Amino acid sequence: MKIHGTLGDRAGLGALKQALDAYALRHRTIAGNIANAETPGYRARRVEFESIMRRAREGAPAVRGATTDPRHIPLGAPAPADVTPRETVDTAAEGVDVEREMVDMVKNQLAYRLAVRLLDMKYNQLHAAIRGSSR
Amino acid sequence: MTADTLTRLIDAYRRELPLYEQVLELVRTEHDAIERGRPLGEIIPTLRTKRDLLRRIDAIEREVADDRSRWNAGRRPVDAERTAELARLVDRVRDTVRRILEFEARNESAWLHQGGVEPAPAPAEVSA
Repeated sequence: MKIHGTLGDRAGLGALKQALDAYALRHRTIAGNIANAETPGYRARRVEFESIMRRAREGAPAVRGATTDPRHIPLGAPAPADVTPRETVDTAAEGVDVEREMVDMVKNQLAYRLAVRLLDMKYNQLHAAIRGSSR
Repeated sequence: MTADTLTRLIDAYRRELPLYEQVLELVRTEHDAIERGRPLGEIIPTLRTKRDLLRRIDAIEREVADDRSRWNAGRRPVDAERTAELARLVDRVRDTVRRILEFEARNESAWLHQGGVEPAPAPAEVSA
């Protein structure tokens, strides 16, 4: 799966930015889960992004229904560039497993830092300068 | 000054690369653990090690922050061979980080779908 694609092209860079948005939303969602750990009847929320992106990349149909009105129901999978993270409810367990939320938080922070590093490297003037001077 | 800057940047990326490669290995290990449905406790030490490795990388980045600024602001050195060496190292580091993130994405997907998920209700329904 090429979530971050080939970063040499625009699509790859866009996917990286989309991933950063997903990590940011996931962070807020996890914080919300922890805050609601004691709320009766609350079920943990999850942020789905990577699997949606994978499906979009692997099976994006050639034909998609256009939505020209807010009341239109989208037809077909979104194009990878249009994929947005989606909040879901975890139906596997009752309530909130705080330990899992903490693990999710750390995983997400580490992935976020790596994505920022990669984005930084992409944009870094240093890299561009090296390319320019090594030609 | 420019030659020293180049030397320090090359040294920094040389030190960072094996650390990123260790992170990549850990992410692969994590993937196996998630796929096999291992308990949470088995993933936590991996995360700690990964976090420590990233902290070491951050420390290296801080060491060369001034060099990077000088490089970005200043003239390019005439040492084409060493500049090319730095370019190769940057490419390898970047590729390793990209591969780590690809594994992270797979891990996240597998992790999420270990349980069941359904669309979240609208905010008004959450509080009901």
